[in-house]
Amino acid sequence: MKTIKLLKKLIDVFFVLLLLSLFIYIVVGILYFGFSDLLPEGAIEVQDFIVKDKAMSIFFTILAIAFGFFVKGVFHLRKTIPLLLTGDYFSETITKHFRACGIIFIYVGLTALLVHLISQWYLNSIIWIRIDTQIYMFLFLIIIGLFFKLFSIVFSKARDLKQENELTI
Amino acid sequence: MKSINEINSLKLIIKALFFVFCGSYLLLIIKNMFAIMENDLSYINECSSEDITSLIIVTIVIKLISKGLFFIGFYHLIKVLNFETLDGSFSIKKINLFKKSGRLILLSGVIGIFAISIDMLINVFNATFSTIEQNNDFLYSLYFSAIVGLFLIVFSKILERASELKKENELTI
Repeated sequence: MKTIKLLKKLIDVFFVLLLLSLFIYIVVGILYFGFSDLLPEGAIEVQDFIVKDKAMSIFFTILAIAFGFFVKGVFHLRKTIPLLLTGDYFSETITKHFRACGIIFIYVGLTALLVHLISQWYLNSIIWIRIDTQIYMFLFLIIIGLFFKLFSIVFSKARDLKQENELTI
Repeated sequence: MKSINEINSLKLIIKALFFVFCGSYLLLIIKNMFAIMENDLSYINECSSEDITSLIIVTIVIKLISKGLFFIGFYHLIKVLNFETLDGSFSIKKINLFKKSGRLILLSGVIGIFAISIDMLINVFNATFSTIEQNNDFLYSLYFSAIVGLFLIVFSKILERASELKKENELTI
């Protein structure tokens, strides 16, 4: 119970931070790619390699959408906490939320990884795989998504066991 | 039958991805060794060779410990997948592996956050704000991995309960 309570606090803070970051990401992106002529010089500073063209704005839009879906995935995780707190571990709702969040994490991870690789290729004109934290994170996200999907199936099996048990009693 | 097929294909994909993950970790180790041999930490995106201080080295060591713990935790998580039937996933061994991997990933997240916080403080004192943004992204990923670690601990508790139910069921039969 203590672990779940701690998890609830952490996930609540994470969710708020994610929403805030998503908002900032979108506002800065729109200002940079759409209205930079109207802003004073140096109002928005970005990393040197980010060029202002159509392709980069497309990459940015795809990443913003993926980020939005990631927030939705975390929202699904957050929705499971009240059910876990009541001790109703094998409810269908929990399984559904785990499955949904697993699928979202897999797609977000794959999209982000692809955009990362394509943008590196676009900027450097060669297929250049930079081993950095982002690559690990995307791979980790895909694997964790697969795990959530897998264990939603295992929990369904556990639900069947519980129902059998109740029927026997 | 359908679910066991789905589980088997998911297990296969996870193991293949973990193999790629290990490959990138190996490259990271090579990169670190290169940085040590050349005595230039800029190879690992830490700092240029002129500003190496003992505090920076301590931070790098803590980060490496965090990465090592994360890798061990992740390896334990992959070991959970070694079950043939669905019932095999409720075994005590698997539950313990889940708990262990959850704790290690959580610990790695906490240690990583601690190292990044020190790093950020150093940057604030040195007024080098350019790296703070990079650290901020890293902080998010560590925070997320800490949450995943806690979820794995919760999963182990759910599986423990499922294992009890299975035993009760078998006794009734």
